[in-house]
Amino acid sequence: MQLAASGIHHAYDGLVALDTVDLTVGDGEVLGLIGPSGCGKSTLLGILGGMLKPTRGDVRLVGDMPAGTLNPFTYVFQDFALLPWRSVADNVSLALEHHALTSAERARAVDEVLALTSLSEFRSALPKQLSGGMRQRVGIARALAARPAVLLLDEPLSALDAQTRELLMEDFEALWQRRRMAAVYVTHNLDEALRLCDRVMVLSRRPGLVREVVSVDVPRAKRPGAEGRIALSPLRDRLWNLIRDEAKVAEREIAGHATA
Amino acid sequence: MQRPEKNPAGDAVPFRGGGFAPLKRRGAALAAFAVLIALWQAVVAFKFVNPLFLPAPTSIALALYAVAESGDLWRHLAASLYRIVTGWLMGTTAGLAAGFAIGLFGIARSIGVPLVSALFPIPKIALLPLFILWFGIGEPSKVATIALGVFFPTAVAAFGAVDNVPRSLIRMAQSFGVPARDIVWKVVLPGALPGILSGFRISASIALILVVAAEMINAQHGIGAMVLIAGNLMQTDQLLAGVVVLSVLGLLVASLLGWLERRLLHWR
Repeated sequence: MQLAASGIHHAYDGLVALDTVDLTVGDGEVLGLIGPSGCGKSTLLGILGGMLKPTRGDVRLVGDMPAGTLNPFTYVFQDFALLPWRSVADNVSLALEHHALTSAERARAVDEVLALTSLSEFRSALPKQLSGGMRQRVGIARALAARPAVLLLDEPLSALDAQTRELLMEDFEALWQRRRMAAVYVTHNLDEALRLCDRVMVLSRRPGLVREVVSVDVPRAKRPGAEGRIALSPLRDRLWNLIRDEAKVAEREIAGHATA
Repeated sequence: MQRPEKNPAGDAVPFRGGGFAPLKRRGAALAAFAVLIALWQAVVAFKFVNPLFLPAPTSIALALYAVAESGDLWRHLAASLYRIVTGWLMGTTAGLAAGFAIGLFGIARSIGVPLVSALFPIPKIALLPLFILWFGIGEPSKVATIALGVFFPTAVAAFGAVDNVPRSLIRMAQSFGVPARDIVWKVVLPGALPGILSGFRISASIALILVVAAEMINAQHGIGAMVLIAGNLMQTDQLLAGVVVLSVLGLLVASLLGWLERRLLHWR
């Protein structure tokens, strides 16, 4: 199974956010999307999952869907997007309630993803009682519950502090080891992209164009730790050089218009 | 850093924080009430004012006891409560339906918002004479006045509350394939509940005001009628007894809504 997007173009109010972007995500592959703010990476993620209509181009899932898939694309959101009135287990169950499952099947699926995200003992807690990291784990559990063909992550760690981010990266690594699945990971954090992705696609700012696709050729197991950081550092420099100038422009921008 | 020769121990850094944090004094409110009532009693007892114009708290209590004893109070109270409850329920049902329609559907919003804005400011009691012509002098005209008075703030609160449900939650539900109907039940309704409940506080107090006003215009029974009749007969102690009943009624409604909020919104 592979996700293929071709000729994606998106414009709102005459402002071109994405211009003819092509991408493929292979079986079990994690593709990172990075770029300066305003490069349309979140827009692209919305288009990939059918949440936004591209002005041109299309997205296809080619090949057989993995067995048990209820929802081919599920999202993990930057702001978690949990229902504050629902417990952890009930937030996860939201992803399943409208599917034809018996209540026993649903309960089993919820238990399984709660265990996978180490949330079992928090199942009846309310979101307000949880730390940011725990809340995002609920968001991840909910996204996994529907057994997506492609997991779409929209800056999943950006709202968390550095230490929590580190812990969740370890969780993601463990998760991908246990349940290999295709994913698109949007981030502005280079370290996250290099730790967690197989390939990283760099988008340029307005109009969003693919500047380069970089393969992260350091094996996943070797990426954490000091040696991993050293092995990844040339790639990190290369990515930063691709983004730096545009990030600087983005930073000096006033509501929609660049002061060139 | 070198220590200065004079004052080798240095100065302690003075505390400047703390902010403004008014502390709750337990019993202060009760004491203030007691002092106020005692003062009032004293003013009457020492004949600073004519007890006909300002009866003493004790005579108000006695008058209250008398109307309760005779059963009049309960008849008046039952009549008022019936009007409040039916009028409030009707206005609330219609207001919630209109508010949700405005919050959820473009066509309802385009029609509803200007309509509600135009009709909301009308003092509803001004329409009572018209309602009497339409529905007769009995209960329906009073209930209709209350229902109309309750309808507008409820509709405004409901559509504001629906608008305030974070769009990110609705998009999240859509991304998980939750059907539109379920999104209304599982996301919009619970998300709008805090705003709806604070709307209830406003609509309940409007219902209380309108029932008294309507009963003062025409009614044999009801707390408003009781207050008006007592005034006409110069029975100021009974008049103020009616006012006390109204104030207790308001407090009861407020605490009932407070309890409801704690029950339903414990997740906040």
